[in-house]
Amino acid sequence: MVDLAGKGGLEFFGAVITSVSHEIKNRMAIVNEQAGLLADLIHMHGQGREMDPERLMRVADSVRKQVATADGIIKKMNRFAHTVDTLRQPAAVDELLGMTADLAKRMADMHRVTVDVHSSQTPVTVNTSPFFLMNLIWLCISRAIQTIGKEQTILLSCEKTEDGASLWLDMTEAGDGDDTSFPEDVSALADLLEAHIAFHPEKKRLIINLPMEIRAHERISRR
Amino acid sequence: MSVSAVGEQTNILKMEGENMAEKVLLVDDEEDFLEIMSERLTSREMVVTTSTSASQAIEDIGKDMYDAVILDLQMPGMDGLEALKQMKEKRPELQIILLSGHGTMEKGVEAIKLGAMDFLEKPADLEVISEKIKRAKEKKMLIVDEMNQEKVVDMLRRYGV
Repeated sequence: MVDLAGKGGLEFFGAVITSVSHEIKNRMAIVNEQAGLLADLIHMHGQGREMDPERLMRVADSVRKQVATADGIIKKMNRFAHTVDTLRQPAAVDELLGMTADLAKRMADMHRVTVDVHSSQTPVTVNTSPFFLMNLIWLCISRAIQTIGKEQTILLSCEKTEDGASLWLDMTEAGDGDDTSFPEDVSALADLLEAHIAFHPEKKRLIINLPMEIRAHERISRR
Repeated sequence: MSVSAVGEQTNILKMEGENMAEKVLLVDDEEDFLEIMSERLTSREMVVTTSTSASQAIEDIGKDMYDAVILDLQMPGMDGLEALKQMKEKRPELQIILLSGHGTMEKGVEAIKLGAMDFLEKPADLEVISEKIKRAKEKKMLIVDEMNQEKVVDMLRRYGV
C-alpha cells in the first residue's frame, strides 16, 4: 500500500496520525493530573484533612469524560487506518466528509477556523477509494483554511447526483482577491478518483463531482 | 531618593521575593487541564493564575509579575513558540517552561534557543514541574537583583558618588 499511496498519501497519513496522537497525549496529560490530584487528596487525608466524597465523585466523573473522549479519538483513528484496507469499496460520502472534518478539527482550531458539516437527507454512496477521497477532502480543507480569514467557517456538504455524488466546500468569507487555486496534488487525486473539481468564485464554493464507480485497482496500481 | 534609600528598597524587594509564594501563570487551551493543575499547584502553596490563550497570557504578564509561566506549545490562534518570543520581548526576566504533546525534541530545541527555561513533554510529573517553578523563581530573582544593582550603579553615577 505504501508504494501505491505514494509520497502524498503518506504525508496525509502522517499528518492525521500526528494530530490524533497529539490529541491523545492531551487526554493522557489530564488523566495523569487527575491521578495526581487523587494522590494529593489521599495525602492530605493522611494529614488529618477530611475527605470530601463529592470532590472524589467529580474527579471520577472527569476521568470518565476524558476516557470517553480518548476512546472516541482512537475509534476515529482506527476507522481512518482501515480506509487503506480496500482500494475500492462502497463508501458513504457523507460519513467520510464528517470523519475528515473531525480529523481536521485540530488543524482548523490552530488557525481559529471552524469546519462544519451539513448532513445530507439521503445516504450518498459511491464505489471509490475511501482513503484517497479523504486525502482529497483533507487537502481541500487545508487549502481553504489557508485561504479564509480567522474566525471564519468552512461548510462541507454533499448530495446524491445521477452520475454519483457531488461534494461542496463553501468558504463563506473568502475575500474576492484570495488565491483559491488548488495545488498539484489536489488535481492528481481528483484524476485518480476520476472526479471533476471546480471552484465557483461568485459562490466561493468548491465542487467535487464523484463518479458512481472508479476503476481504482487499475489506476492506483499504475501510479 | 537617597542612595541608601535605593539600596534599602532593593533589599526589601529581595526579601519580599524570597518570602512570598511562587507566582505562576498557567497557559493551556485545555480548561480541564488548567483546573486540575491549578488546584494541585495551589495546594503546594503557589499562587496560580490561568489563561486559555496565548494572547490573553501576553496581556496578563503586562499586568502582573510572575515567577514562572507554564506554556502549552500548541494552542489555537498563536502557538507557544510565538507566544514565548513575544513574552521574552515584553519581560526578558520571565522564566518560561514549555509543555508539549509533541513526541519530538525539535520544537524543544527551538524553544530553548528562543529563551525558554525548560521544555517538558506531556504528561509531565507535577513534582518535576514544581521543582522547576522553584528554580525559575530563584533564577528570576537573580536576574531582577542584577537589574536592581545596575539601577543602583546608574543612580550612583548620576549622583556623582
